[in-house]
Amino acid sequence: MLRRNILKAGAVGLTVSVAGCISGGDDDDSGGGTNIGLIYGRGGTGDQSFNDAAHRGIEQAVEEFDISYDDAGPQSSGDFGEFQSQYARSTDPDYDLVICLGFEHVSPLEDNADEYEDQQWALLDDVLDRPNVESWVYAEQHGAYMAGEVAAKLSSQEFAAGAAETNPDEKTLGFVGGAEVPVVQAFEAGFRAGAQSVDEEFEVRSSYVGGLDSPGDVEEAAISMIDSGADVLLHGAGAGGSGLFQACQDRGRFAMGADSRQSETAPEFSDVILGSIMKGVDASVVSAVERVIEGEYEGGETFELGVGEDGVELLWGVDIGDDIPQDIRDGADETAQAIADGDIDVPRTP
Amino acid sequence: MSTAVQLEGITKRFPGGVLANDDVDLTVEHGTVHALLGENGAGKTTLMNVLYGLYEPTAGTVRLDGDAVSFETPQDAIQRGVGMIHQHFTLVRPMTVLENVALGWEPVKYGGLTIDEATIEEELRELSERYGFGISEHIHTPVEELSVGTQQRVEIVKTLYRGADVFIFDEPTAVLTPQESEELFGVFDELIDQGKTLIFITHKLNEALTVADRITVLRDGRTVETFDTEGATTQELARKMVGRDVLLRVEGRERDQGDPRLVVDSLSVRTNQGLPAVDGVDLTVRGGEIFGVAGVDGNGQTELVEAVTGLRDVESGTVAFDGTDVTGLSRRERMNRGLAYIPGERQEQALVMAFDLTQNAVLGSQHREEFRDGRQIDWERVRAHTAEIIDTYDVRPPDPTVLARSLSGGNQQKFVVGREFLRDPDIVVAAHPTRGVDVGSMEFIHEQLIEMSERGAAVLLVSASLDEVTSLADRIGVMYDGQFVDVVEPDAVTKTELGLLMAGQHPDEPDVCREER
Amino acid sequence: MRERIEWLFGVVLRFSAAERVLVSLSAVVFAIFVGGVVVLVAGYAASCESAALYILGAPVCYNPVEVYLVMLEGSFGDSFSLAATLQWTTLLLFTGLSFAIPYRAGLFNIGAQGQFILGSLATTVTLLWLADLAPSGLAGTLVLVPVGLFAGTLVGALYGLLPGYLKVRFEMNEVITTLLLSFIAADLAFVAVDRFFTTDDIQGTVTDRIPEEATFSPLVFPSSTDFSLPVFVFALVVVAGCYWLLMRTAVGYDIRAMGAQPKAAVFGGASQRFTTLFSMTAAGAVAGLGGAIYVMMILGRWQTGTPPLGFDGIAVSILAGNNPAGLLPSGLLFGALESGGRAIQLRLGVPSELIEVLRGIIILLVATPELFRLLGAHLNRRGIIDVDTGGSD
Repeated sequence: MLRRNILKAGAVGLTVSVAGCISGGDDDDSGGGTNIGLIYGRGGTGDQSFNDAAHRGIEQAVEEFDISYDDAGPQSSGDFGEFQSQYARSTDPDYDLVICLGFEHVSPLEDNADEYEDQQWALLDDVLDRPNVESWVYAEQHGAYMAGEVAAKLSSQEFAAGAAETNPDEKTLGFVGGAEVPVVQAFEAGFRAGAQSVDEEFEVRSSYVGGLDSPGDVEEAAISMIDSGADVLLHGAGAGGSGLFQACQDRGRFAMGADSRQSETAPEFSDVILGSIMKGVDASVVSAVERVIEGEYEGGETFELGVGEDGVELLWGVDIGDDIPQDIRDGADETAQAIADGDIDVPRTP
Repeated sequence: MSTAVQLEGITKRFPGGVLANDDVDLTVEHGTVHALLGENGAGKTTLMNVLYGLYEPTAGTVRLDGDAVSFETPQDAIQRGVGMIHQHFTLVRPMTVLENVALGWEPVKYGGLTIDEATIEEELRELSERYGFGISEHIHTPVEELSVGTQQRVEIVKTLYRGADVFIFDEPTAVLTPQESEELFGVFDELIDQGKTLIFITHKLNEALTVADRITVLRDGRTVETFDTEGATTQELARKMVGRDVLLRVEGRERDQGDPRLVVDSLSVRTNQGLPAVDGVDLTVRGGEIFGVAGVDGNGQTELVEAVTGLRDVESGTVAFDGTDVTGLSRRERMNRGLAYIPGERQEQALVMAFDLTQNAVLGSQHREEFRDGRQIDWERVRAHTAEIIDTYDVRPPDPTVLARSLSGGNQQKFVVGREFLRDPDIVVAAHPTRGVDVGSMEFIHEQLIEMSERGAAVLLVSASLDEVTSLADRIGVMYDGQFVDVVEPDAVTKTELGLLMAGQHPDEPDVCREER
Repeated sequence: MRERIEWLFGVVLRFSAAERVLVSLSAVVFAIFVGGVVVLVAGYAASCESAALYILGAPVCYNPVEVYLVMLEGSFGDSFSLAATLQWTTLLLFTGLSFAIPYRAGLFNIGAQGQFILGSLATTVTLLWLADLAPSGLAGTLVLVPVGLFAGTLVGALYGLLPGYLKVRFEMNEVITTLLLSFIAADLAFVAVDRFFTTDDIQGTVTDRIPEEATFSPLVFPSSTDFSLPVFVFALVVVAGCYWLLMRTAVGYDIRAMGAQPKAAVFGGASQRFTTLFSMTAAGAVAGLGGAIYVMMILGRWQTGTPPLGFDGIAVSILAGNNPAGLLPSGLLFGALESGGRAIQLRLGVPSELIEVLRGIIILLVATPELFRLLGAHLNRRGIIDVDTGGSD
């Protein structure tokens, strides 16, 4: 039987040495364990963001439940459909659930969900209306709202920490996005709503650079915002976010990150990063697996996970997060609760 | 006098059965120049490659100073004092003279980390002085910036530097101007004075007679005869080389001349570098006429020929074939109008070396109706045409699938001449058609040129060989600095007068140096 | 030393066609062996719970034999695998041609990727524009398929013509221009779709779907595959056509002569201007046609993240000796490596990076003799080395 059992592949000799790149493995195959297929977004693991979060999630699921999994990282647009159909077709093992990560899966999944109608699919971070697809999306705007509130409060007072300080004279914040797509626009909408909940006069300048991997463009946009008075900036630009951090560090202003705890993943900028908005990709992987095991899988459903459902959270920066006044941090927790309780309605579109 | 080199019963058979040397004997005395004379393909170079360690003989013995030796590589040969100067130089063009000489023989410092340039430079200067090479000022010049003659002297110095006593020169004058050849022969004298031994491969009868002490003639891979140069004549040598009597000089002839077929009117052409090369030349060649262009290389002959044949744009003026202005027409259209061209650089221009003979047979006719079959080339007809060229012009080996580069120079030229002349051309342009060609082929090519003109074609013949021009042409235009100094009839001038014209001096005004212009 | 090098080049340059095939085959065998050793070493260095095999008592995570078996099975084992292989092969035939044709004219087209991308975009946009106008059913197919293929071909051709024109007009080196134009094409396509052609249905830089009538449905092969046998046959016909063009026609003769020896080609009446423009345009056209097929057979729409088929085509062509006749076996090898690589990633958990290494080793070793031969021919032509490439005296 062509099975392999790798828990953790370390440095692979001369050839590959990035542990994070090694496709994970599954637990022992014994017992009638559940089989999960996981297809990452383009590039696969090692992005310190989405894909790695999903990988963490599946590893956690391995520890909690009796499952085995296989995973694959598409490299180009043609790979998504190919991997989907290979998992769906496979009879050895027969996958109980195939998890697809990211919006690039949608186009080929439209076909494959119809083609393999007995296959159970889970689509993360986008929605596809098919009777055998569970969609999981995240209320990015919730986290962004909290970030906007914190940013506006800090911007209104004298505040200095790490390598940056605020400018209380200007009521201006900044947002730089990657592609102008709904998941990114949700950041902007939430951020603005959060800021204006503190003071109606707050202005959030925004800009979209078009792609998720262009730090240069992001840096340029951020500089021009800082020069026109913005003192706390949020990005939703994927790997391009480092450009925003650079601009903030150069000019002594604060930044907020997205998708992972960036004060850890980008430690060179931790002296300007107040906090990061994180999507609960790992948690939803675990949930999706659990629903299959428990027999609760519901194709056609869409789950929108907000702050109350581990869908999104605001994590403080590891270096300067503690410098933020306690009342502001407490305020953020209260806001989270209020959003979860439905007392605050956060817009998703700007 | 003792024997320096002795080859006994050398036989060399190549894989595939070609017998290049068949029981060849050769004895070379110390301190002499020994010429190895033969047509292209006679086996001269193969024999010397055996001596130089490039080929292992199938049978036979090589002796140096009486000892039997067996070289596996040229390095072995050099160790024993045998050096070879190839026709194509083995110099690395972007490297300096010093670096080239030192390549592979560097005296090193610091355990091989650097080359001891000072030592080499000193030795080079010393060698250059002693032999009068005149390369001292070029020691740090990249080789590609030197003239061909100087490059050749660098090759000689390189060989000397490696301690050679026996020098093999493979057709050294093929790439040289007459003046450079004279200089080379001066170097020969110096080498002999220093006690070196020279073996000199050539197919030029006059050179062998002038330079060598003894001559060995090879034909078809066998030794024909070895004899002293004294008392030998060119006619006799030619017969031994070719195996029959050879017409070395075309005798005067009478021809009917027709209408002007090729007319060039106040033509000006520039070089690739944008310098004026042809400066307002007028020229008319009638049907049945051979118009010779004489001159020292580099006075605009090449550019004139290229402008006529459609390979170079003109600056001003016109070219007309049979009364039609073709100045604006492409090379292909000119060929369609009956132009045949035998270029001087046959290996670069006239043949695609990597193509076989069949593919080369259609070069220049590939778009013509006669070789077309629907939308594609009619390769059947091309094959028939190839066979015709090979048969009619005696191309050897007579194998249409052999690559052009595999043919000897003479056979390449016969193939080119055959291809061009079987077009039945009205206008023939031939540039140095016999350069580097053996006497047998030379005679044949001359006959063909005459036949073309007798059939009514206009022939424009450019040659650096005064013999060729004066014996073939009806009129001779002498080119100097982009213009015709004079147009003369061959019988009306002496060689001395032609030589003066080529130097830019008109005999009527002998004291005025034309270079003042 | 120099003699040795020249001797070596001489040996390689004198290879006959049969010898070259033999050398390539033994290189494949050698590459499989070396790749196996690498897999073994990597499997030894990696740690896993239960080993795939034990060597001298040491656990090894990946069994090379198993890896190759899965690779073989994943590329030719069943109709799905075969479809995945041939799907890739089909596209590589086009991009391989796109390198081979200009190469025969002495030009390096490194820009097939860009021509491919713009061709695929042109096809998509044209088909989307026609979607509402064209009839449905078979009539729609009869209109949309030719038009779609033509649009990709045309735009690819123009994008190939551009560097050709820059070369003849401004003497700009085509290696540089084609490479840079490739990157420009990718960004251009991104911006165009992002700004003008993006769909409202799903996220990302994606267009709407092209009409169903314009897509190639799998025949013979399972319906869920993205491979259509008639398209593969069509690709073979295009390859045969290019072979015929190069080897049998006067234009092809001009191109080959220009590539082999420019001076002689010009002597023979060929125009460097024409062969450059023609071969670059033809190269762009076939690459663009490949792009059209990528959209019409596989994706069904335009989307970012085009696989590097244009760049892989260079290696495919070099391995084929830049002869269209060699493209099929060469393209099949690359196609099989692609689909087989996916299979071992999915089924054996061999990390994709190790698969890239394995593929790289195989391609490198298989292509090296040819590459060496090309290098030798190039140096010889430039006069940097002096190699007697056949015949005596």
